[in-house]
This record gives sequence, structure tokens and C-alpha cells, in this order.
Amino acid sequence: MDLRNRSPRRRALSLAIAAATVALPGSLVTPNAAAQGAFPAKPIEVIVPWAPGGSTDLAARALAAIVNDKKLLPQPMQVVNKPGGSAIIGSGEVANGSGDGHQILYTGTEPIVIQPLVKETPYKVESFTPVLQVVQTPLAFVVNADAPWKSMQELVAYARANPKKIRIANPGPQGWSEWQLRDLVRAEKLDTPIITFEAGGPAITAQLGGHTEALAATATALAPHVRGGKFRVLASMADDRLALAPGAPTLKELGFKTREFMITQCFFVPAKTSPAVVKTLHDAIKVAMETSEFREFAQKNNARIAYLSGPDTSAALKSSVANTRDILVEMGAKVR
Amino acid sequence: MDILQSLAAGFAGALTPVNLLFAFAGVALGTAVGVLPGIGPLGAMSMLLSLTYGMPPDRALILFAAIYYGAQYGGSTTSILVNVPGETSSVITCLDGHKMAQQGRAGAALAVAAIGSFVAGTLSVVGLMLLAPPLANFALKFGPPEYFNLMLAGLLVLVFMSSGSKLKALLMVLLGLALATVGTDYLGIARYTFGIPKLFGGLDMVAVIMGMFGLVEMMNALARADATAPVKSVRMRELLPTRDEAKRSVGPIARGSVLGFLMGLLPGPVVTMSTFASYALEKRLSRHPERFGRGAIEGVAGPEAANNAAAGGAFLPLVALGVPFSGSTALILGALLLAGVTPGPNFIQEQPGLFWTAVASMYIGNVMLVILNLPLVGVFVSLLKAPPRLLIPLVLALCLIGAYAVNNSLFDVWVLIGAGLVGYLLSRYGFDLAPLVIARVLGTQMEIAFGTSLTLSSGDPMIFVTRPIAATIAAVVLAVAIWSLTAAWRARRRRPPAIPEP
Repeated sequence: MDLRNRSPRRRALSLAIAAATVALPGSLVTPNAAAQGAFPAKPIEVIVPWAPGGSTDLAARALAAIVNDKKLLPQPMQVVNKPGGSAIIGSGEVANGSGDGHQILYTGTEPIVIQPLVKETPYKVESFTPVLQVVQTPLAFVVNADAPWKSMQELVAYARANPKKIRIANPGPQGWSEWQLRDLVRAEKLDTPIITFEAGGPAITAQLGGHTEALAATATALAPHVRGGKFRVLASMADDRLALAPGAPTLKELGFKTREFMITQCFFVPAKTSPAVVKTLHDAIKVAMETSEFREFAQKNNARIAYLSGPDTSAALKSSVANTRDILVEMGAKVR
Repeated sequence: MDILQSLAAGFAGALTPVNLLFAFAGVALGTAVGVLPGIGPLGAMSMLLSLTYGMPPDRALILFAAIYYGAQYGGSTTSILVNVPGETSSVITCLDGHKMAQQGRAGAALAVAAIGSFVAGTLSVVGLMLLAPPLANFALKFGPPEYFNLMLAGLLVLVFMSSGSKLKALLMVLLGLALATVGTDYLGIARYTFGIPKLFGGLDMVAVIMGMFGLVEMMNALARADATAPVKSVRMRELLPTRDEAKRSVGPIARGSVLGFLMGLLPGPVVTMSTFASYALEKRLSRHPERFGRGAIEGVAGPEAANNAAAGGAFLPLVALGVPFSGSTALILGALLLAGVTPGPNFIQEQPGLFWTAVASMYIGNVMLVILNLPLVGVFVSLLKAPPRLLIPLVLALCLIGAYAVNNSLFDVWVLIGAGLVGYLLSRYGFDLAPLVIARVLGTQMEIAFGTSLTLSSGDPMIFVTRPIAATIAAVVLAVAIWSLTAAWRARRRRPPAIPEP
């Protein structure tokens, strides 16, 4: 766990080059590439529709840094955050952009799959072509280390006997964690409030302070607190166990009737983008995903590298939309 | 002593040439983005975030921390000079700082702000070093109901301390809260968007602030008859605080430091809240409260110390719990993650070298900042000598760029212009804009705290008064409100009803 022993390999030079990349993107346009009209002719903007510093943003930055370091594309990739409106704003900007491949989207699938089902959005699922699927992060169900419940069954039994006494913190609205929690609570017929916070940080803070009794969040966000002895993992909410807590059973093993929802991050371009451009992007990012640097990044952040080609991602999205629609209908929500 | 040994080792790490360079780069950049309205530490850090991928973690932490606390130094500069807050945490500094500038005391205001920032910044590092674990656990006891009461208290204080009509101040607070409800709320539900996707992101806080302060001030400057009057030259001794000004600043700086540090520990927009808590405190303690709003140096010294101390305090939950309480500390956490370190609740024990190097670097950075900022006072004051035909377009350009830069959104520029026009009309009719702007800043977080509190209690509003800490805050607010109202009522009875209020 002592990561400081890793010898710092970065040189001051690479920092200077990187600084120049950030400061002077225009200067890097080689006249040759621009003249030929080849792709990419200028730096590629990776729009992350979330705030900087979050798990999506960090994965995008790690990938962009590898693509740039290894010169996998003749032009640099730059991450630009366009947060706001539950990621609809940034996603919409890419969907309605020029489609020449110089502006691409990196996000979890929530704004693409869920948002168009529940509200008016400036795009539809069909507005995008997925370039590839990158990582998936499983969800975990935790309680505080000093809580009396040692297992999921104990907690559910307590919740059944004491309506409204177990409050489950949910790190963000209309995301996969909320659907899975609602799915679970409905299947078990529990009277258990789900407390939705605006983001993962506040949910973890509230749980650490004992303002809620349980929390469902990504393994990435929970890992430091589980390792630091603050949280106990009661269950993996994915179909298999977590590397973070191999002793904790999955909800399926325990016989709970709930579907698996994974936080799934993908690259997207507007649907009108030419297949050749999509292929160039796909190939470069795929190589970056396969480097040992990215594997190390994913492992440290408890994310699973889950490559899917563009067409496979497209198929997965379609079934995800169908599933989500079913759940929304079962919950009695209005579906567009 | 264990702490002294660790600190010595920390200084050994922080004093290596490369780490000194990173600290200097951080404080210089922090000062610059602090001075520039709109572009804040958040923008600077997100621009540099990609660089920390694979960087040695001590350098990443030194650089990012320095940008963050450095920005609190620069934020007051434009507040004082041109009534445009460089950061949300310097809105309050406009009230008296800019009045001082109009009276030819810009140099003194800037100098006191820099010195106050240095004292507060250094004291908060001492606090961070000595008190991290116990205070962090106390901060966790504050949940949504407690934040809500705290922010409500802040807004009430704002109404009571406003110098003009209380009713008008209350109206402005309500309007600010209303503006905060535009856009997608925290549960993802769009409100007042009229189906326009651009409005899903709401009316950006920074754009509203810069419109209401910056644009309005520039329009006022244009409207003033003396807009082309020659600016009197500033003599050297006018750059320094007088003995009386220095003496009056000591207490506010000390109190602002403690208040700011303690508030900095809590989640929410606490850096900004600490500034008006300090302002209200100083006005309440002052023997001449009527001076406030007319160029009282206490109104600059206290809040500018408070925001620096709060920025220092905000590190504490990050290093002691591994949880960032604000957008800025979340970015610092992001920088550490990209550098390969995952801070958790045992960060200080697991990474003592990193923690103590960062602490030592913060002491060094604060010294660098005061050395960097004091000579800049003269430079900034001489900017005021620029003729309005140069200064006004420059400030306007800064506002426009700043509003765009926050979300890389052109829509926010329109929000800025709209806020400027509305703000100009309001100020023409004697409405104070500070309560509106601060209500806009707090509104979003207040609503989230209100909503999560009520879901925690399954809809029972008693949650705001039955939990011990929340109840204490509520009781203090009630007591202050009753006291202020009775005092005002008694004053009115004593005074003959000769002159109606303007």
C-alpha cells in the first residue's frame, strides 16, 4: 500500500512539455496535418460533463495523458469539464456539435441512458455513436464499522422490524445506485428511506458522521474508507464479489432479487461522425487502455477495465435503456 | 517533541529546490487567479489537473495547495480597487474596501488584507498541524440540518447587519434565493427552465456576482459626472496603513483567523460564509458600527483574515478523513489520486512524509505570498491612476472572460450581462445588492441541506430544532434576532418621530 516507494519517473522535461500542451494548444497544429484535412487536424477536446476531480474526470485525464505521452494520436487530447444540469449540458453540446471528431464525450452512461427517459434533453440515445466502453465500477453496500449489523440479512431483518429506522445514503440522483437501491427496497418490501445526496462526497461524509445508517456507492469512492477501517462492506451489489472485500457476499448469493447495475464509462461521438474518424479514436484509446499504466490506475481506483467495441457498447446501451424503462414503469414513474 | 521532529523532516522535504519551485509556482498562480475576477483556484487547478498524472505526490500536493491558499490572498484586490470581487469569498470586502479606495486609502486596505491573510494563513497551518484528528471528528457531527441552520443564521445576520432598510435587505435575500432555484436541482429536476436546455445549469453564481458588482460598478462609473476627472497621485506613505488603522486591524484579524479556521472545517460554502460571519461580528463588537459600509478598515481586516483561515481549515477534513468538503479540496484530492496516492482516514499515519512536507510547504508558501503581495500593493494602486476610458473596458473584459471561463459557457456571459442590467436598476432604487448575491451563493446549498434534512426525518420539520447542535444554532439565532428587534424598537421609541426614514 506504500505507493511513495514507486520511483518518480517523471522528468521535469515531460512536465514542461505537458505545460506547453495546456498553455499553447494552437501552436501544436502542424501545418501538414491541417493542410491534408486528415483527422485529427487539431487538438481533440474530451468533454467531461461532470465536475473536475471526480472518478469520470480522473479516468479521462489518465487516458488522455497516456495517449499524449505515447503519441498515439498526432494531436493531443485535452480534457475540458462542462458540468451542470446532471451532465445534460456537456452531453448535449457534444451531441449537437460538428461531429468532425475533434470534440468527444467521456461519461458514465447515466446522462445518455436515464436522462432522456425521465426528462426533456437536447439529445436522444440515438444522437450518439459509442466509440468504446472503457471501465465499469461495481457498487458496494456498507455500514459504519461500529454499527451493530454484521451482515446484510441482519440489516434487512432490522429494517423490516423497524420501519424508517434504516436510512440509506445514495450518492446522486437518477443514477444506477438509486435504481438498484429502489429495486432492492421494493423487492424486499421495506419501508426504508433512500436519502439522495447531490454527489458522492456529501453522501460519504453523512455516513461517516452517522447521519445515515447505510450507504451504497462505488468501490472506487469507498475503498479508502474501507481500508481505513471506517466502513464495513455488507455486500457487493454487482454479480460477483469485490476485490476490495472478497469476504462480502453478493446480493445475488444472498438471494435478493435485484438486477446488477454497474457504473459504466464510455467515449461517445455524435451519430453523424464518419466511421473512419471513430475508428482512429477507437484504436488510439484502446491501445492506451491496454498499457500497464492504465491497468495500474484502474486497479488503484477499484475500477474494472471493461473494453467493449463500439457496436458492442451500442448493443449494451440498447438493452440498458430497455431495462431502465422496465424499472421506471414498475416504479410507477413517468417514462418519456 | 514528536511534532517538532516531524516538522523538521517536513521542512527538509519542502526546502528542496524543486519543491520550493512548485510552491512558488503555486502561490504566484494562486495570486494571479485570485486577482482575476471569475477565474478562481477551481479553474486554475482543473486546467493543471492532467499534469499531476504520474507526478511525485508531494509536488502535486504542494502545487495544488499553494494555488488554493494563494488565491485567497488575491481575491480582495479587485474588490478594493474596482468593486469587483475576485472570488466569492471577497464579496464582503467590497463593502468597506472599495469605500476606502474611494477615500484614497486603497493602499492601506490592500496592505491590511495582505497582512491579515498572512497571519490567518499561518495560524491555520498551526491549527492543521496540531488539531487535525479531533477537530475533523467534531466536524462530522454537523449533518444537513446543522448546515441548514448555519446558513439560515448567515442570511438572517446579513439582513440585520445591512445598513439600509431591513425590509429591502430581506427582499433582496428572497430574490437571491429565488435565483438560486433556477435550473436542475440536486435531485435532477429542472425548474424555471422554460424548456431551454441552456437554463438546466442555472444562473451561474460567478456570473451573477460579477454582473451585480462589476458591471453595475462600471455603469455607475460611466454615469458619474466626474468619470473623466484627473486621478490624484498617490504618495508612498498613503500606501501604508496609519498607526490608527493598524491598531484597529489587530483584533479583527485575530478573531477572523479563529472564526475562519473553525468554519473552514465544515462542509458547504463556508469560506464565503466565514467572511460575512466575521464582518457581522466586527460590526457588532465595534464602538462605531455606523462606520461599517463607509470605509471601516475592520470590515476589510476581519473577512480577509477569515477567508484565508477558512481555506486552511478546509484542508483538515481532507487530510484527517480523506473526504473533501468543497469543490476546491475535491480537486486537490483528484490531483493526489492522479499522482497515485489515495488519501483515506489514516492518511497522516500512512503518509507522514507527504503530510509534513505539505504542512512545512504551507508555512513557506505563506511567507512567499506576503513577500509577493506587499510590493504589488503599489502596483495595483497605480492602476487606479489609469484613466476610466482604459480602466472600464479592462474591467469589463475581465468580467466577460471570467464569466465564460467558469463553465466554458457563452450562456453564462449573457447571465452576467442580464445580472448587470437588473443590478443597476435595483441599485438605482436603493436596493443593496450584497444580500442578493450572498443569498444566491448560499441558496443552492441551503436547498440541498433542507431537502436532505427532511428526507432524513421522513418529512418531520422538528429535525431542525431537536438535534443538539442544530438546536443550539437555532437558539442563538433566535436570541440575536429578538435582541436586535427589541433594540431597534427601543431606539425608535426614544427618538422623536421627526425625520421619516429615507
